[in-house]
Amino acid sequence: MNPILKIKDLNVSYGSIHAIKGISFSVMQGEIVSLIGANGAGKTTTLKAISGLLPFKGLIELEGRNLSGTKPHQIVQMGLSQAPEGRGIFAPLTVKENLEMGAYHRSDGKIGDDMEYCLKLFPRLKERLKQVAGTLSGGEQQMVAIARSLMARPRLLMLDEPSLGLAPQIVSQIFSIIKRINSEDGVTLLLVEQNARMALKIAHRAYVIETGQIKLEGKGVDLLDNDSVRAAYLGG
Amino acid sequence: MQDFVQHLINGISLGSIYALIALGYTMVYGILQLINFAHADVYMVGAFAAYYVARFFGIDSSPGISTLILLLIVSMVSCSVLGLLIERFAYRPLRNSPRLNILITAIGVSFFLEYLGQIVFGPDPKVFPDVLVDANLFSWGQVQLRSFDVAIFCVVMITMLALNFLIYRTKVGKAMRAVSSNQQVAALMGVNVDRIIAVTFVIGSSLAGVGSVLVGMKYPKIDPLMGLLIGLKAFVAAVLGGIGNLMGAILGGIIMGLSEEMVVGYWASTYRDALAFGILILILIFRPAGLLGKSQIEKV
Repeated sequence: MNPILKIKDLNVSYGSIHAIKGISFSVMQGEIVSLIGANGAGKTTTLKAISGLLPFKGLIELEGRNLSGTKPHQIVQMGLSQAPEGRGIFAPLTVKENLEMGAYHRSDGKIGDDMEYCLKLFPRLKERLKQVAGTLSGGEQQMVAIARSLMARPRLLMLDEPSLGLAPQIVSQIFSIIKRINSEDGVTLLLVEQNARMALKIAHRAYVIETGQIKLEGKGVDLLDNDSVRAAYLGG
Repeated sequence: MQDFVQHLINGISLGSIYALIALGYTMVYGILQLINFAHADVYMVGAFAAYYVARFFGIDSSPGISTLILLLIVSMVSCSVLGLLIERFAYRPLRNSPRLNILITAIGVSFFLEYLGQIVFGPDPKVFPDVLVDANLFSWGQVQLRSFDVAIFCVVMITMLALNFLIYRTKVGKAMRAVSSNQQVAALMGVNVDRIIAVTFVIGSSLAGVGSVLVGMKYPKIDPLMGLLIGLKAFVAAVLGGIGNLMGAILGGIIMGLSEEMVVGYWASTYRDALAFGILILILIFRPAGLLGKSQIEKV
């Protein structure tokens, strides 16, 4: 199998701060891969480099194409979309407009079908279509963020902290939908999480990032049993 | 009573012009958090473009609807091009630098246009072409509804309806609102942010172009510093309504126009300009977010 995303010796700096120090990893077609790690480990920075928001050194390849110097809006057109950190919904726009923004670069006739599909995944949003997104609850905003990123019809979807600040039932609801997106629709997923237990359970493979470097990698279930992972991220 | 109605008509007429120019400030602010001080000078250039084109075609003394429309188009196009150039060469290179740098640049561009205008157009006032015949359309006692005021009102209404359609009913408008809400995420959705910012400058500047022809029609004396005062007043209108808020800019413009007219009518015309700055000071003390502006609450 070919990797849909291949990252080799990635380095990202914020001014003099060297945030990502030469990490390498890959995501295979059809996989769910989780990046776990503490606050400030460099998970979001990695995603930002991949989506073109931050300059980087090293190699990032999406389906064999080098992303160096590619603008964020061009990367979306290449089949990668993202539900960014902190949801990043467009607060003054309605839920429907938010979802339509996800399909902004598309001009095919299937946008309406995809909208219907997203509303089937998140029936709560159907009742709120005309509502201004800024007035939704945190969980609903996360649903908008995920649904919006699906509207791009991505081959690779990156989710940044989908569980952040959500009640436990909503978290498990969102994770079961993430699983469904992967198993039923064949969308490859790169998941960044601080909620390591959830992220490892759902992932085929996972990487542990610490201060800008990859410390561990392996199958999700194996890392769940790994002693050092348990001690550091799963509360013993 | 009749006096009051007359002041009302004049005030709305003046206010809707302030509103047009205020919209340009507020749109650019909404998308870049930049007070585009050069906006008032773009407006000035629009008036001169209309002036020279009218002279070139020899229609500077053939008033009529077609002259009005032609000059509106000329002014809108020249303002758009100028706005686009300013964005591309003065503001875009500074997109990632601190906000103060770009603000100072805006002031610099403003001075540049004002003094370049004095060199190119000459510092002496010029007489704006006759755009329309200023006929009295309707009388009620001493109250007159004149064609200038009706024309201003109609043009502003059409412009605002078009703007409303563009912003709330088209894909570009949706992208503009998305960029203004969160630039980075809009880029992640596939929006070419630079292009949307350029579009915003084009729209804002062409509104200034419309304003310059309407003002030139009603007060037919133009000079390279003509943008200074009206720009400041429109800026105050935008702040009054809540900068970044489109409805606020319109409301602020109308309030500014009406109160200015009332001050002139019932107090003394000496104070007409002081009023604008009085309002600015009051709004900054008592409601800094403006009438319709509100501080956003972020949910976690």
